[in-house]
Amino acid sequence: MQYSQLPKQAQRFIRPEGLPEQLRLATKNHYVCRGLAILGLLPLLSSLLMAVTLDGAQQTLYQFVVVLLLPVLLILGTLKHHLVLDNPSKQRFVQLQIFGYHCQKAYQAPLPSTELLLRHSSYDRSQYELKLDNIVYPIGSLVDATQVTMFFASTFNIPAKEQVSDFPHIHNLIASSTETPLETSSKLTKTNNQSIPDAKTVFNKQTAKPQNSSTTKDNDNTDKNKQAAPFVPPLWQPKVILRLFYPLPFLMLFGFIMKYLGTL
Amino acid sequence: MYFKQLSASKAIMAKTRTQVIARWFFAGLVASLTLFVTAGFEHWPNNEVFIWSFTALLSWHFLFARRRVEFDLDKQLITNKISSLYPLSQQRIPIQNISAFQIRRRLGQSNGYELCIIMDSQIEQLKFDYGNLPRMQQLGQQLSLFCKVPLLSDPN
Repeated sequence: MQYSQLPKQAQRFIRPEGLPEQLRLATKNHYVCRGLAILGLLPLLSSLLMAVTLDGAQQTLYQFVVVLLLPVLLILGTLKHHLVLDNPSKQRFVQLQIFGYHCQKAYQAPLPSTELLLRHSSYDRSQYELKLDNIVYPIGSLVDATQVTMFFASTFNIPAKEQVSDFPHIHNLIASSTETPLETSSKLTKTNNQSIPDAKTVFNKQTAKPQNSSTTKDNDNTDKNKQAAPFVPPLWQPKVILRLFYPLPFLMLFGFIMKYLGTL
Repeated sequence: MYFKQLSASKAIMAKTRTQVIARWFFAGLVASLTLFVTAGFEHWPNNEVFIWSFTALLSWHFLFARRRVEFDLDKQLITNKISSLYPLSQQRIPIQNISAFQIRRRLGQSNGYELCIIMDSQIEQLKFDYGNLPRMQQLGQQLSLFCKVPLLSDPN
């Protein structure tokens, strides 16, 4: 698969530089540093403004704050923490980069031992995410997530796995997937109905295991049972908040009765 | 709350003795104070009595709000109830429809985790409990063993 074929969501974190030999993926620490750098801009800019507008001891104080904050934010802003997938050495490692200087490689391991898992998003099960080593990337639809997974699997020869078709069990993701059933599943997912059985059928088609008629009947029955299962709403719903106020009129009445009795 | 197995097929989420005593003590204190101030209501203007009723509502829920969780393997049901002298909310979760329990990080919290129930019949996950990672892992393992449902304890 070509880089240009990747979905836009994935192109945000997969940069084309260095491909197909090497891929540098930002880790969680990288994003934390960038976030802190952006957050730190607020006190820096306000201190800078104060340092310009004020005078005397206050100006010195804010100048001192600016001098203190500036190098910290500069370091945080330029710091790059990457998970590197390296094809020539067949290794993956984590590397820190500061002002263009590459620090020592850490957590080195062979590429095929990298965990590459396609699974449901932890926060929205209608969405899919990709877990690569210890980093999780939210992708979106099943088609996109499968494409990205296959991209990693084919470019870096990493065994791809999925936790969608037979949740929560993990199976190998078969490389020879046809795009047609995935596309149909994506359309179904977008209609915001059941994505889980759709994904199940998608991957069943992909693995293309021959099933006899009795097992398919059983599957149909279990699917019917699952569909018949009642929808379980979350424990805390807006109407529950409203119910919290049920005793209020009685307490109010009690308060005014006490006031009335006191005046007697 | 901690997991307490009552028999081979029944279990509940129970509170420790310290939690129960502390709750009753503080809730009783707040409720007594709320009631005590009503003795001087003849000097209070109406709007203050109105505001008092909201404080009284808070103290009501502080005193009476309860969460009861029961696991019944015979009925294959987890019952999750919230009441405050009157029923507030109830969840009846069929165990046979649970795909897995999952521990995940709470959004916006670095050390906060929640234990969720993943159903095979719906997309929405059901939040069950929250706390720090060791407590969630312990609870998740206990529930997983009792209900014979897999636990996904990878919070990444």
